[in-house]
Amino acid sequence: MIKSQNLSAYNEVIEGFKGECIRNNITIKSFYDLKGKTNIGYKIARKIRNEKPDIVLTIGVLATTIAKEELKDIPMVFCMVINHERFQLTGPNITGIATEVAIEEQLEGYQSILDSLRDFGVIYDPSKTGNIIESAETKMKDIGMNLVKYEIKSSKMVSEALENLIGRIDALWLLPDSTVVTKESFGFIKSATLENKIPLLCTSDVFVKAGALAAVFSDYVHIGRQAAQLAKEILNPSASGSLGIVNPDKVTLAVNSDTAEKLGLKLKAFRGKPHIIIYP
Amino acid sequence: MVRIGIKFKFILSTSLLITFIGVSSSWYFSSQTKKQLEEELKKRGYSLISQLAQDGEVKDSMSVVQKVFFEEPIRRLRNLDIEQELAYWRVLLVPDYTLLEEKESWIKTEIDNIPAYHNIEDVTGPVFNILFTDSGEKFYNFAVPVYEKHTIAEEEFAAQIFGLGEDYDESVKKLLGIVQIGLTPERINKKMQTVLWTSIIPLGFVIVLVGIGVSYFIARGVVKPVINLVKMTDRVASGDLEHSVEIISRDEIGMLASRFNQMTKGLKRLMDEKEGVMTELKGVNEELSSINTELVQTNEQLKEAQERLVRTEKLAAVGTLASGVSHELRNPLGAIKNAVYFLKRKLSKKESPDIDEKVVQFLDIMDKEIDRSTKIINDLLGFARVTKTVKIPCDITIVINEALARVKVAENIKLSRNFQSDLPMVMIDARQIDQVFINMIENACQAMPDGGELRISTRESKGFAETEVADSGCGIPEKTIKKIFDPLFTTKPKGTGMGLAVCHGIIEKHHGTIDVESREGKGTSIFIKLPLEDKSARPG
Repeated sequence: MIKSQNLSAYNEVIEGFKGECIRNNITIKSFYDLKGKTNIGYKIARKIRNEKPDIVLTIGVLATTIAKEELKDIPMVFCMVINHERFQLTGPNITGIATEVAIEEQLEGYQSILDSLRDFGVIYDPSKTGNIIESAETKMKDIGMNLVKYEIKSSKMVSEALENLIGRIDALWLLPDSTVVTKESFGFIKSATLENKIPLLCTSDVFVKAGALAAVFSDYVHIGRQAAQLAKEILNPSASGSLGIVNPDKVTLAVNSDTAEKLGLKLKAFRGKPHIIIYP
Repeated sequence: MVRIGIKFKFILSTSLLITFIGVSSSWYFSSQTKKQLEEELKKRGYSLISQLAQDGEVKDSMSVVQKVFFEEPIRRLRNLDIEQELAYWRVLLVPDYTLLEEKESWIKTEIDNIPAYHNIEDVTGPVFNILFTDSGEKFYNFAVPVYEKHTIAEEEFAAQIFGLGEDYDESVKKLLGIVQIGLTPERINKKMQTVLWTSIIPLGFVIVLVGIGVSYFIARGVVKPVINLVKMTDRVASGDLEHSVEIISRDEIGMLASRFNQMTKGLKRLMDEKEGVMTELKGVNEELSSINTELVQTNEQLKEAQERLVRTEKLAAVGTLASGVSHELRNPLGAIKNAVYFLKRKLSKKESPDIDEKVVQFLDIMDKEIDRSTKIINDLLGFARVTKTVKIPCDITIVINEALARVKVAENIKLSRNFQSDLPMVMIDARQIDQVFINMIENACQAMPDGGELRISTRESKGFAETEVADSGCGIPEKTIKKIFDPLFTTKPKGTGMGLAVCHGIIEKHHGTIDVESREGKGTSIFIKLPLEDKSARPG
């Protein structure tokens, strides 16, 4: 089990994974933290190669990409890789759990709290999240929604994109795009949308805690469990290598009630699905 | 002495003040501009060094201690230096190793002469200082520490998206070294020079010129009414109180002009009052003067009257004395005259040789002196005689001609007569007046022993017939002229001193006047005025 660095989300995954492993009699041989350092990653990869485990769980993009390169003959399950499509995580030994919730499920979650949701605004850098936009645009069209997109190539263009979108959209969808979301930009996006009464919808509860209206995201503990289940399947002698990349089983809807109040929204009666967390 | 006016003082002081303000503003503006340019340079320096320090390639190169990997980051740095102010750059690794140090070729200072940081671990944050090198160059020096990359960018982003763990420690960072760059202020100095010569100095000049111009107009506006006041003061001083100062403004100068006008009006009123008093005084003075003249005339009349009275008294006393003495002397003189006549007759009949001729001569002398004494006595008696004057209308011209016929005028004296033809008759005693004219003509002839001109003329004058008897003789001295009518006063060796006194007495009896004008060496004129006949009083 390799985690890229010490993040609470990663630790939740480990927690779920460990529990599920115990239940399925899977022994965790060794556990490594790369502490975000590439050079450590390579050293550990060499060490694991010598240990010859049956399967490797990688948590995060650093651990996953090093394992992909260095442990090609050991089956691996990856998780917590943001927008995994960028890293071409495919191979006979690679199985993974996508971090992002499927578009349909995300929209379902957002629509459960917002009545009129037709024009969905999004700011994106084609080099980072172009693939997500491409698939989302088609899927939204199918259900009669309109994706109003604004393309940017640098973080400096965020304000310009917001100015362009405000007035044309019913909600702003904040993707996990490192050009759009920076330490500086989030505060600005949050205040601009709040000021113009535009709901801000995200893919992580971190932003909901920080003031976004809502987020549909995967349950990290459950991802750990799901990974253990996938490992179990792979370890089964009848299994034939990779199980591909699966979507997370369990999603959660996080809502910030203060923000909802500020936006003057009357939250619809929540339905049982998905699971809902109300902040603060 | 040259007089410096308010206008000049005002313009001078205002100009000095404006020049001071202009220079101060220019100085302030230029120092602010320089400060601003320096701040901008500092910002650019910080921006450049931040870009360099944040550059992942720089961190990687420092991690692997590879100088050659800096080519690309330095190229990027130089591209970012649009203003071309970058002078040098240096990369120092811990603990004390210079990985890279380079400078632009146009920098005179050698890179070794630019101080490096040897205690790298002491540099914990961005450092800025200004360096002065031995070659006289100035640099804005920047240095920042470079830390090892925490993690790959994707993991950093993951941390952002998923949130940091409670035990996530971002502060554990390994110091790789420091990057140092220097910027030259050469460009901002040139820019400053340009701003100074194209904006600040011309602006300063414009401020000063406009200030002087404005102060000139303000001064003119202030001084003009004052000059008007001065001119008006001069006019008032020269006595012109008819005009007033035009009040243009309601300020202090306007108030001054108003008060001045009030003062001028007051002054005019006082002057008019003074003029009235002066006119009254002049009238009083003229009155006094006329009274004085009258008094002088009255005084002169009184004096004349007194003199006449004295003379009359004097004449009366002399007349009384003469009358007594003459009566007493006339008879003895007659007896002596007869005796002399008898002796002379006796002596002429007897021819005796013993008779001295001298006796005969003495008898002749006695006879002559007796005649003269007799004449004096007769004159005195004539003066004293109280004879009644019988006045009848007479032609004065005839009386004068008769007198002339009785007097023998010498041949060397030219006689001229100028009688007014239609002269009215005068009321006179012709015998007495004839005596007066004879006396006058004789005196005139005696005053011209060497010949001359005797002029006799008549004319009518305010109810009188005036006769002038003038000679061109020796004249009468001024000191004696007043005494000529006194009895017994004479200047002639054989005169009795009674002739003119008698004449004066006769004329007074006729209610006339006798006056004399004389200039020594030029001649004498006697004016005799006799009253004309009062025709209304003549019977028939």
